Amino acid sequence: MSPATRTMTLNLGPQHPATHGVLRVVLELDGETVLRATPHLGYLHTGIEKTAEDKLYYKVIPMTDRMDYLAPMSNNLGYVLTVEKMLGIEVPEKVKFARVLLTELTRLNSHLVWLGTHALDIGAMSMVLYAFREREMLLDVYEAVSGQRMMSTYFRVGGLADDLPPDLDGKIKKILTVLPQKMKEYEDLLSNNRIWIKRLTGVGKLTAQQALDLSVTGPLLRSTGVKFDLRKAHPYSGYEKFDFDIPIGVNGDCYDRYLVRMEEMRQSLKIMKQAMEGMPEGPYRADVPGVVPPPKPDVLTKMEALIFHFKIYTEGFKVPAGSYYQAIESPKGELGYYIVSDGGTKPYRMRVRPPSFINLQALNPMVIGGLVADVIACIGSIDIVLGEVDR
Amino acid sequence: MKQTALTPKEEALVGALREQFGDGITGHDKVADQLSIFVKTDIIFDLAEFMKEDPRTGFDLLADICGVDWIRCPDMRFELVYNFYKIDGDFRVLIRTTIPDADTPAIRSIQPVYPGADWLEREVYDMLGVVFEGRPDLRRIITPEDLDGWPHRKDFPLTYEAPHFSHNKDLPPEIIK
Repeated sequence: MSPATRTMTLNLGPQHPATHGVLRVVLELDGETVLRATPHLGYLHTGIEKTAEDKLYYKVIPMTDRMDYLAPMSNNLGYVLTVEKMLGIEVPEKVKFARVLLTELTRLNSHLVWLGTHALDIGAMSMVLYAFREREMLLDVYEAVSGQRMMSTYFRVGGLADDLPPDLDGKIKKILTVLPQKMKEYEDLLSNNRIWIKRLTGVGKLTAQQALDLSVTGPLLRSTGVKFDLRKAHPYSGYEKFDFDIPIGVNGDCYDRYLVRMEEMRQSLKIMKQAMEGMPEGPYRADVPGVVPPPKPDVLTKMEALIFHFKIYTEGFKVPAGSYYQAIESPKGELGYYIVSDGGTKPYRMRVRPPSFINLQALNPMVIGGLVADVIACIGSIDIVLGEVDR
Repeated sequence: MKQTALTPKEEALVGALREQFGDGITGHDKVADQLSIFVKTDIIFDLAEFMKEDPRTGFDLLADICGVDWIRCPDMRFELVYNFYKIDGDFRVLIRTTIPDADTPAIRSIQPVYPGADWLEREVYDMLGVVFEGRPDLRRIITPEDLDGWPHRKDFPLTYEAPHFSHNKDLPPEIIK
């Protein structure tokens, strides 16, 4: 091979800070041009799907948090909706509204971290500090409802873990007033920033057909101009009652993905406002004896309630034999749970359709012909969480 | 779970598939809003082409491939569930096929039709050991290359025995509790 055609192999990661965790990509380079990018996964594999086969249905919920740890409530929602569908449980209106409110909050949370780290990768160092500062407000809400700042485990089969706290309104109102101003600040810093535009425009382009062929979903697909959002296409948890728009891009490059996600955050705020204002009164759990734990005061005073409580937490509850696939629109894309039940108290098989994993397939076509520095921009713009990629 | 009736759209799809593949389609069922169609293993490639390109179908997104190990069933071992989605009209259908062979399970790959199947098939191969034929680059994707065994098979130890890699393959099984 002559020196002119010799290629170089460069190993990126798995501990590189710009790979958002433990992603390892082997790049084949011709000078500065990327010929091929081969991701190597599995550094964070924890076997969640396999472990779920040995857990009672309600014990799987804390594990779902740990997949996409930036959007724990979306993961919880997908799982509980699937199990509820298999059991045929209809949850009260208040639960639906609370779930919508909190999953949209989760979307904000995920997109804020994406914005901060993506900008950090590109070289806008201060953005990460601003984004994490605003994220504190969101984590305060997590803490208020569930007692945890990250791994909330707040949604349960048939309802919520506990009633919404009385001071939630004030906290949400603060987010609704402060965040739009801050987002304007972010856009002032980035949208017309010459470096930001140069680093992102025309980089990592995907056409709509390419994206569909690669099974890509979420903001990555929408940035190519395909208007596909499961909240509209196949509404779950009462999303059909909310008024919001789906932003789509035109060019399918990294800059469009930035614009799509920023607009999605605005739409999330709009949904949160509607959910908070329309929040109905009522119970925070469905009344399904044997599946949903009875209220705690009843457990202390009534014999039947005590028996149910005891049985649920020792034996678990049985789910009718069969299988069901339920997908939700997580911040990263279509998050699906496919649960197979053999009629017992544990899932026979739980399959998670991980949006980050499948979107990451698009990395290779995105970076071919680009520069090494563009690979970093592309990884950032796909918005992966390695906990979910490897599971 | 409760069986429900097919909608006209779903009946049209089942009819078109039966017309095209005849005996290749072995049945269908619908629980809640989920349509499943059972097919024979050998038609899976033609079926994928039909699902993508025929004007009667036009399923543009292969959402997922899931493998299930039915070790206790006498006449089948692995079930593959292909999850097709049509964006125009919100139409999701699960195509199920079973592989009876427990020793050398194999099926034709649909990666040439749906490029997105690449990693999905690699994951099924990695976790269950089902070999996808007619595609390049079938490697393990999540577990290390030298892992001995297929983690999602029901006879793979869940917590009690340390898995074997190349560095410990000659050692006796280590029990971890």
